[in-house]
Amino acid sequence: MTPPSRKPGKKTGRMVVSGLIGLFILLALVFVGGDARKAFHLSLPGPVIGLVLLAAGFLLAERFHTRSHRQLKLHVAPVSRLLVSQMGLLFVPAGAGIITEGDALRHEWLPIVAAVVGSTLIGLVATGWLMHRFAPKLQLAKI
Amino acid sequence: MNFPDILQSFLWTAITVACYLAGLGLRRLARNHVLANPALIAMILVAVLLLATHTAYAVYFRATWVLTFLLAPATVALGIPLAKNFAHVRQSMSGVILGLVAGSLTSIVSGVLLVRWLGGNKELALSMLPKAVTTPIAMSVSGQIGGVPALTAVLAVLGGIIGALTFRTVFGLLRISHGHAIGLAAGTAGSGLAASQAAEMGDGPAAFAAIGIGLNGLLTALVAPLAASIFK
Repeated sequence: MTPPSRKPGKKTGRMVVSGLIGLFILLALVFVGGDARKAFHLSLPGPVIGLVLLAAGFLLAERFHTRSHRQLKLHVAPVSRLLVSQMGLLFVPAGAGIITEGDALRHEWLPIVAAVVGSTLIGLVATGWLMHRFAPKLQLAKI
Repeated sequence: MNFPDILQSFLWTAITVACYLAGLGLRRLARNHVLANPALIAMILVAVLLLATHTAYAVYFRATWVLTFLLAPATVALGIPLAKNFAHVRQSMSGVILGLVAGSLTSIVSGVLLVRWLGGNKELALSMLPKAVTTPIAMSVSGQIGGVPALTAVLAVLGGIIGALTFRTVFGLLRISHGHAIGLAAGTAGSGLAASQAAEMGDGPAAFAAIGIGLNGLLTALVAPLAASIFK
């Protein structure tokens, strides 16, 4: 994947450093989000506030400050892509906690299956139908 | 932290990563079939290992804190795909807002009501409430409103699998052909799993799937405490 380079070691080193800078920024936003949650008595989880701040910051930088936009794309975007694409690994420990819920699963399998299937289908149809009805039809041919 | 603790942390974290890698391998063997979800496979393998070695879940969960800790920055990281695709929202503002609000609310309400009607308890209903959202947000919302985060994690993965398996058939039957609508619906109702399937249909569906994941995460986190207090 990496293009041939005379000093591959240097490139990997730069990627690691840039990844660490990106991770540091993401962590800083986690803590800022947590503090904002406490300070303003918000019901949003801290990381979700961090998500909003990052998205807003990215859009504002894109519009008004090309240099910091470039920095965000250079340092934060790659580590974000990695974390998002392998997010499944990160919730394995929490999800394995299902073993402490064995009784609930045995007794309540019917409401679980029915609600997961039913509400997922209802949500899909509601969003899909309204968007299909109200979105501009210009791009239809391309898809 | 004393030495055995560090050793145990290292061991269980390595085992979890190995289980996830096994899940990735199995998915490749199954040619990326949605049922071969690496996170779900890893959860099952870890659960079997914990039961086989008589390890208390609390011990395992404490040992693997690094992975759980990284969930928070991974959630923040979802802001990048949302921002990159946000320009699309402005082009179809009314469709996105209507579709998103309708999908989010119907899936919250129908999930809770179906659980209650079929005799499920309140804890299960509250764990079901945020399950359409991307798993890390669903888990923290669940913990906040009195659900069981572990149960929500499994329900969210199951919901994503159901969405990924059915959305082509459902939209085919209903003649919903707009790629943006399909993408937004997959991201809103089926979170990451259905979204990644929709993303294979092209750039438009991929962009709207990312928007659906991000905005529904935000919307559900906003309305969940209110919805939970109504259902109590």
